[in-house]
Amino acid sequence: MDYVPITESQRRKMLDTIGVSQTEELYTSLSPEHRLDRPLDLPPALSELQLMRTLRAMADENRPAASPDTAGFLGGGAYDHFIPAVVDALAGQSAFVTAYTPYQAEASQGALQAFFEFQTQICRLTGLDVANASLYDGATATAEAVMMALNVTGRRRVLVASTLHPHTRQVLRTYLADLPAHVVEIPATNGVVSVETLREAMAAGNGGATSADVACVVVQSPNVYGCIEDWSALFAAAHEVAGTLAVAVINPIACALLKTPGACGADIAVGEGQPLGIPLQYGGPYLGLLAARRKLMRKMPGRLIGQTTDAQGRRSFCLTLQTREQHIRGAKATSNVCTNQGLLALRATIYLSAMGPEGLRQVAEQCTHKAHHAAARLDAVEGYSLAFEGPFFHEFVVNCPVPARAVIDAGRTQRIMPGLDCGALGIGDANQLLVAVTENRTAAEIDGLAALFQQASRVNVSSNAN
Amino acid sequence: MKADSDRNPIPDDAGGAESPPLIFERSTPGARATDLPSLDVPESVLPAHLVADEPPALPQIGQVDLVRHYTRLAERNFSVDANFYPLGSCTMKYNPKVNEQAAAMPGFTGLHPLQDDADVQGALRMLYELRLALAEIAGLDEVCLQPAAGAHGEYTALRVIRAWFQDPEGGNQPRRNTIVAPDTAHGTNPASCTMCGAGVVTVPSSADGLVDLDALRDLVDDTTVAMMITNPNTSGLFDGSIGRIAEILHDAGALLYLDGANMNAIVGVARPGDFGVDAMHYNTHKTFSTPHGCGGPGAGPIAVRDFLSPYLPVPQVQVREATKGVEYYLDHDRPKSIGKVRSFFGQFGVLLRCWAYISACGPEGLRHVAQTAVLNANYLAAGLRDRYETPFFDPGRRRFCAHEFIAVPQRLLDHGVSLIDIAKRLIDFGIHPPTMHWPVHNCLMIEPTETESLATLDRFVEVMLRIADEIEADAAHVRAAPHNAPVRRVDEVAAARNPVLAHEDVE
Repeated sequence: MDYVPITESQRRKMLDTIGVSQTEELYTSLSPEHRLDRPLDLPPALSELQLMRTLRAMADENRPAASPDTAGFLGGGAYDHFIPAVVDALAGQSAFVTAYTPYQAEASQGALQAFFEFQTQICRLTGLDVANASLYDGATATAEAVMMALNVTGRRRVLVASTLHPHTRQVLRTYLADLPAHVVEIPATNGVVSVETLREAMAAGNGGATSADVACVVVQSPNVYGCIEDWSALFAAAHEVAGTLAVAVINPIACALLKTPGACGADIAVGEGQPLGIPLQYGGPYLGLLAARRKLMRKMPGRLIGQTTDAQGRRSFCLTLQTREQHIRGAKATSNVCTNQGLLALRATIYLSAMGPEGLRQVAEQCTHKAHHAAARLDAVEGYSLAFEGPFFHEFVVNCPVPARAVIDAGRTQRIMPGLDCGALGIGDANQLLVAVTENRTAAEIDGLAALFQQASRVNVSSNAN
Repeated sequence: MKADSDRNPIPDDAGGAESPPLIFERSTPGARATDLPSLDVPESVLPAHLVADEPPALPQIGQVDLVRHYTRLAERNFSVDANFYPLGSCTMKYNPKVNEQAAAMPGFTGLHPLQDDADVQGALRMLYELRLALAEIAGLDEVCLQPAAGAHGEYTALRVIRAWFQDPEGGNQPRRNTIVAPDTAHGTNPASCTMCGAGVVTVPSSADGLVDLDALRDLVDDTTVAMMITNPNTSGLFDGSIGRIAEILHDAGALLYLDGANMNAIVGVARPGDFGVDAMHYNTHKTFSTPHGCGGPGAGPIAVRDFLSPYLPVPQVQVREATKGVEYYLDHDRPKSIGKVRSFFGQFGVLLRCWAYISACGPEGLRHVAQTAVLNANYLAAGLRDRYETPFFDPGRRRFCAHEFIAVPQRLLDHGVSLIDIAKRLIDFGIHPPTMHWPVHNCLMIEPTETESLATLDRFVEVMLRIADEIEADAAHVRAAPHNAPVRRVDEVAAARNPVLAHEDVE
């Protein structure tokens, strides 16, 4: 099925109207040597029934982490949260799913109002003044924030906490590779960066004196180990050099419980919006968040929705400050971004509206309580210990007496996915496991996890004995 | 019904004339739309200095009011499911329902991106098959599925090309630093060049709307990285000189990049690799029917020639022999790779829909798609050209368009209307306006796509001719459009002059 409704007799009538005898004649300027003289080498067309059978078989070959029969403790930047039914029902309306970018305001008031609500919600979550209408994902949003900081300050050095998610650090390296900028990583102690090491890193570029060439300082909290960084102290230190911008990389759920980036002195907040009502779906499409102080508004990347009025004075919305954008400004645009993650921003808007302030706080609190309960249970299993002592949100690193891989493999038969191998993720060694616990996990599942840990160390002892 | 001017209008809840309240204005303290199970573990306490006193000021709303709010907003939106979108260069084709059903299967939505490859064999198989299909459609050797959108694909491919030039074992000409783009290029092209640290040189178009070959020869030299070309171009013309353009670039040691925005005109009919292209991106939300979702998500896979493939982002989906048949895996071990361009692997849910579309169409279907897209565009051009001049479409002289065309309705504009007025009047008829003032001033760029019925195409022509009549009879009526939309003309100038980008509660 190619979804073409024109019939053969209609086609002939249309060709008559144009004044040609066959469709091929319309490709006059395509020279024969450039035409494909055979069908594409692709599998034959599938009917809808065959297509669904094939896809179902494909889906059945997978073993999803988020599944009623599986206890998944996987995090590392993507989290299994509860998604209320209203999110799918409302964001799934075809008037949203199949709509174009709302350039034509009069034909797009629904999307524009929803995105205006989204921008407002993200401002409130982050404690900042302006938010854009989304970017691709958390990693590219961070890269965009850093490029924004380079652009605003005219400086070249970017200080990045080494506790930032490795994907984000890698994307930053890619984005800055061909630009006059370089990244310096701030080392961590006990799972967090300290004000002292930040100050040292800032000064290192300039013969010991605090350098004025630092465009921005980027700190993620909760960081990749789940530890909560002291944004207030770190950003105060960053601001000791006038003009340096503080970039907070957020988890939007944690924003409902912890002090907001704005309250901690951040100039820009970015993050991965996936926890806000977006399924894991193997890593995408997700949602890049970016908010900033108002003075940075005109340097922001991406679409912005503004409130205005129509010819009768009624409140209306439209895309605004478009002279920042590529379709107007070309090579001088603040970013090349065009297509964003509109439908995911809509999901987040509906999710946040459904949860409300108390509901979102409750999600964040339950994540914290369950993660701390799990950490205490696992720490008590002989041979295991927590890697870091400081405060954490819903994720933590466990030192195992056996390779993390052995614990993961032991979980297979019991349908427990106990966490991520820190060695494989590039954030620790092969005996460390990164465990995430959301509100979706139950006390019984946490008991099961503790039992699995115990069992995994025993299995290893006996196999060593052989 | 007009609001009584003596009273304050009642905020509208059910589709009347007033704008609906914001979700924040519907907030009722204590109201909840959903709930959570009660806590089944002991409480723990975080250090007080880290914790916020108050939760964020989100709306508090009951479930039915939440549902009505976003249902009401959906009613105030055009969409392909309800409206015709002859939007040039955006390829707003129909989005098949079966693809949505497929992407919603728990076996796909529940996959964590860092799960073991062994747990996601179905997902990786789909990605691998899509990789092969997109390489075949492009006529190129290797595909990277990761870019999140077309612009992201442009950026990724340019970085790959530059990495090849910078590699002593590759192109080994690190000083090449300029990229050529036609004056009709999408804005993303020059913006992507800037993001990868390259300068942009613009090549003008000739009078017939194609690349000026003499000008191109003068511009291309040993500093040129590549030319970015859209073909068919943004005027809706297939540039028959593409072979010579490729030659000019290649003779100078530079590469040819295709912006694949207009692949819908040639998919299955011609392959970029066969007409000299070295690298390109697709827009799956154009050519392969993945929904636009009010502006995203998209996906922008790129296809490249063999010599560029070592530089593609990590990871790459691969297949290898295993004890039982084959196994699919993500290959992170790519020493020459430019690195990561995004978190995790890509827009999986979008790529799945893309795979489903290609599988449903098959090879004959894809060719039929392109041929019908071109047929429909030419049919509309033939129907409109008497009133809306089509500078590059003239069947008498065997000059046809590809899947889209531009119209410059100068005689109508001389009646004192602007293109915007025509566009807003179309909204009254339930038709989304075409692209305007691009690639040249005062043009409408019209792309019907292949998924529209003859009745829809005929109605569009009828409406356009009616608007032409209206302009000649009563231009003021058209200037005041829209008359039947949820709002009248929106004041975009005021929005930019005094930006209000977030709602502030008024006590």
